[in-house]
Amino acid sequence: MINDKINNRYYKTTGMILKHSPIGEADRLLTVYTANMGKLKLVAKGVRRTKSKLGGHLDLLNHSQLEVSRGRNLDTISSALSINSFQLLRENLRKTADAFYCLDLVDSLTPENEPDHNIFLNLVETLEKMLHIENPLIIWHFSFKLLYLTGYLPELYNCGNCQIKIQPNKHAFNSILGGIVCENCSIKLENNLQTHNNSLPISINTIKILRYFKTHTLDNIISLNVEQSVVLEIQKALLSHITASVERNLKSTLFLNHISKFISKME
Amino acid sequence: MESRREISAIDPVLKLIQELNKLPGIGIKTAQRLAFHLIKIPNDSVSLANAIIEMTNSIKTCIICQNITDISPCKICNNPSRNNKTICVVEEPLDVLAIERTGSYSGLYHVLNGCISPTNGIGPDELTIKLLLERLRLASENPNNTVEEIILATNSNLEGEATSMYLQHLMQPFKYKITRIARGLPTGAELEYADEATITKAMEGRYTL
Repeated sequence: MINDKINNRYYKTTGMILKHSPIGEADRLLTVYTANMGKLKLVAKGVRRTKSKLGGHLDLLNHSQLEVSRGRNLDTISSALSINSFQLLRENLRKTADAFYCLDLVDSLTPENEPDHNIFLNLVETLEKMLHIENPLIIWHFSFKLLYLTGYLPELYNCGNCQIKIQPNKHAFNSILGGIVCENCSIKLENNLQTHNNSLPISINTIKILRYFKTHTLDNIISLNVEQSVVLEIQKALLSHITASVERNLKSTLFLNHISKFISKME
Repeated sequence: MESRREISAIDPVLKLIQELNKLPGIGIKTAQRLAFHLIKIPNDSVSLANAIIEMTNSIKTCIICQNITDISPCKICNNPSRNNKTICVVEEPLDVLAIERTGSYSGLYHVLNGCISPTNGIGPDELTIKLLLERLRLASENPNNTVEEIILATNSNLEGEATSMYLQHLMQPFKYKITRIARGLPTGAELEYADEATITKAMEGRYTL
């Protein structure tokens, strides 16, 4: 009986810290994607103080073990221990930008309190891979898999407008119509301004890679040797699809683009 | 219901409560308590109101360091006894206060007015980074240039580190000495509760006694 009461008041979980915003004197409201409870909003008391015991364990991009006490509105974190703080990502500007993007994408695409262990695993595995491997396909594979897990996957086999099977021909990617559009339809749609503005040319190689994303693991993807132009097409297609799915521009993509331009200029 | 709305429109106390309620950390109950306290001390209320008005009218940003000030350039930038060889880059005006409180730093500052936070939509262009670069460019073209070192004192969280790394990349062409404030255990802290990143940094930054 007493045990039951205690269990109702506390719970233990592990999660990735996706987002934080300051509240009150020294507290923060955290958005955490947990392994078994989905996305949660939790209060972390006093973490903005230098001597906070929790602070270091609850920074963004921390995979932490949490002990949470239930509150009337929001639950409060009572203790935290970081499992992995992804230190190598924090020390590299490009990887930091990629990590910010991954966190923002999970936050934007997932609803609160809906557990999906695969989303959690996808995030953690991707970040762990990013620690030691620099490959632009990693974050696009992550984005694709997240779209798949959240039900926003773009259509890659049939035309988004007339539903016929896509033949190796000239195609376009149209985020409004939810995926690839066949040659006939893309010509027809040129007159419609709204759909035309959301249309991107897409090569057969890019479609192949996107289809490969669906059936293969991250390790398979990393071993691929893909041209820069295809990576760019994948990036454009997925970002426009994400913008259409969440119905707003993802703020972290601005920084992502800024940093990749900035770093290529430096090199 | 109608009469209630009328009261809220004319009652100056309710108006004050609404205004106080807008302040960070002040809920409706606290706002009520503060408003009724101010009624009891009319003289203090007037001086408080005057202080707020004076502050709002005279506050501006220093053209050199972007800190908030009443005179521009600010007292720190204008002070000839300060060490003009170092510029300490901080996120917020409150960070300047925190460093000044220690009395251990006598150089100049630059306030960024925030840090790079892509998830909240704050990128490099929203900060005063361009003004900092302009300041450094002017300094490096000046034959009497005194600046030797830039200290990056942004917060030691993910966003602060990202801001710091970005600035470091940007400032490399200037050939100034670029330093980052140390990270490690705060005074009075117990090792037991520290996270791995802090302990790693503390180990890296150890010194010979």
